[in-house]
Amino acid sequence: MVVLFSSIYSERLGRDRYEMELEEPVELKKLLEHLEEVFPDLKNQSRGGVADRYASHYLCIGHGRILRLGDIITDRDTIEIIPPIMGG
Amino acid sequence: MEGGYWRKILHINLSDGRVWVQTPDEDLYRKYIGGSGIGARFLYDLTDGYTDPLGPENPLIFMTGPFAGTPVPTSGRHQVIAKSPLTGIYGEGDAGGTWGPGLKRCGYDGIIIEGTSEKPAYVLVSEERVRILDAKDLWGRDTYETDRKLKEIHGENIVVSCIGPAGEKLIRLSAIMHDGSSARAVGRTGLGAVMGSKKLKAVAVSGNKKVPVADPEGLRSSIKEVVPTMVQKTFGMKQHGTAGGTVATERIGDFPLKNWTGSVWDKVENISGQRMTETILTGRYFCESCVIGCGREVEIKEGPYTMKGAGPEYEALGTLGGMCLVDSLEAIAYGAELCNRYGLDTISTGSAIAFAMELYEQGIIDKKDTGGLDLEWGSAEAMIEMVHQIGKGEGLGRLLGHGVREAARRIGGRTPAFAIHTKGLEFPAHDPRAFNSLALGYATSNRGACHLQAASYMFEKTAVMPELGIPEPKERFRTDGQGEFVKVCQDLMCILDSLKVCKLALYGGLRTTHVREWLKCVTGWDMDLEELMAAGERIFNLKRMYNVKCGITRKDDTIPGRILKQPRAEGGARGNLPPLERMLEEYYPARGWDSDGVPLKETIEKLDLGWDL
Repeated sequence: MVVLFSSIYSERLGRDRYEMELEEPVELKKLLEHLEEVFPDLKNQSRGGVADRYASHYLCIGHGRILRLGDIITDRDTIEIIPPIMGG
Repeated sequence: MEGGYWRKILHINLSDGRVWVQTPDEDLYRKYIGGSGIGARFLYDLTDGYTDPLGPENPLIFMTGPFAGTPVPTSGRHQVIAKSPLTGIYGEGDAGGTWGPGLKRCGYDGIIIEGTSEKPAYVLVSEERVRILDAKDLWGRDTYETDRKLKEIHGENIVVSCIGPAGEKLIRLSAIMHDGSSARAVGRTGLGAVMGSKKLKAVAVSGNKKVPVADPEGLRSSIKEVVPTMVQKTFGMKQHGTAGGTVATERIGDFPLKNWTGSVWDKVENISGQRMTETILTGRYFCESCVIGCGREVEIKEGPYTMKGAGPEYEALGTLGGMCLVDSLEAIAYGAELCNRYGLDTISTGSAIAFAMELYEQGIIDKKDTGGLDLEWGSAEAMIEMVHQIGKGEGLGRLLGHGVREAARRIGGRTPAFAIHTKGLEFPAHDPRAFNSLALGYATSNRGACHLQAASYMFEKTAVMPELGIPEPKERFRTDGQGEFVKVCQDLMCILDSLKVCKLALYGGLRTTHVREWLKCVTGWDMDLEELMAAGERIFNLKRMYNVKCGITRKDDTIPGRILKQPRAEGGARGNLPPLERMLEEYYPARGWDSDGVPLKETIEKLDLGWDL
């Protein structure tokens, strides 16, 4: 599977994509826990777990959808990590 | 009631200088809550379909909610209500900052300004007295200068609500601005022009009265429980402001591009809130009682866009940026700063400029009309020049200042197809093709196209409200169940607009349970969910009845063909078209309206709206 980082993250992490093999489908939450281990800067010095940060520090989209932490990600998927949606 | 309100509404007539205080019954407060609800009630009773929005008979109503001046999180907001000179129907806008709590500390829940002054005037309200003063030296000044000047005269403790040159010139896109360079705008529906028509430059307030709270200890303890979660969940907003969502909205096909004809934009990261944080951000500011802190202070030290002031919000980035394809963050910040100083709504102003850019591309207008200006997509110089022209009421800007609906009507031909509005109000920076519920929300919003009158899209992104049947965010492209969903969202937003609690708190986990608890602690009222939601429904229907008096029917409950018939070609909303007619078929019965969009007699009775309707 492929993880794309929008420019604000790619500049911080020094890369704009990350590829990995998923032997079996996993929940997005599990995948993000792995990504935070590989790229600690994703946490942006915040405390707590993925669930505390998701949607307030970053967000994932895939297939044009805002992904939820319970969504299942397969090896064929491409997701993008983008800044959270707030907006006025 | 034991707290939250003073039961005092200040009336000021600028025609004859008369000032008097009305003391409404508790029943009015309980039924209409405050802010938008009480303001709508007064507007309904004082005006009708024939009222000239720029005439002396149109009241300008400033109204606070029960929480203003208390520590309730995000309650430092107030509402301004009048018949809109832009749309000709119900008009309202709200702003954060410190003005609402400032008025409350003077001992008033609201101010109703009637009549027209013979010469420029401003009003100064304190606990002890109300004065109508000569604004000769303020007239013509921009909003930041006006704020500064009034503070020099009356001291730093006053809080100023004022108009800029745009409002003075009755530009229909004009806003009422607050808090000087920590700008907070009542932007929508052209209420700055209503203030200008009264020759009222400013309303300054200065008070120290402690707002009564029925159960201060209970309130403190409830707030203490909620705040940490709210702070955590809105971390991104504090870091990067509302602008922090710019990239995400582009990715999901929500961000407006090229007067609603674009689909994706590889320049969007150039203008994101994150980019602002890295480049021009110098500080952040909070409205009173806020724990989110979305306000931006920015500085551009050199070049053509040198400035120091409030940073652009998401909506300004969407309209002055994406809609015009301007990808210079500095130019957009400068354009938004000009809007603040002239006293212009950034949403309608950016939309009007994008509309003109499309007319220029189509050859409907040319350099003869633009005064030689090359009004091309992406031209920051052209965007800035048009903000100046709209703010001053000069050149092509004079026409655009009437709003896109009226400008299109005057130009004629095929031009109305390029004017993207509902009921005369320009679209904000969220695309109904990305959230079907937004289409229904825009079509039926009482002030014209508005994302905040239902804010349904928030519950299709990350916000939830289990007690109202939204335990998790809803699917944004669904076609069934939207009628009831949007109705519930609109009723809820009427409550928040009346309590004057910031809707961004919904991203922080705000629930109706919190609202009811705070209402009980502040006022002593033990309001169950049914009574609370009935108040929201009552307020929404009252505004609809006002619009019915102004001639609104089902034919007006629509959105432009461009949004209904032309899908986005790429991106996160590719191919989707909102099924508006189908959603309306669900919506009218859910509302208790007839097939023409008029509330049924039994609906009016159920909501105890009164027979005078």
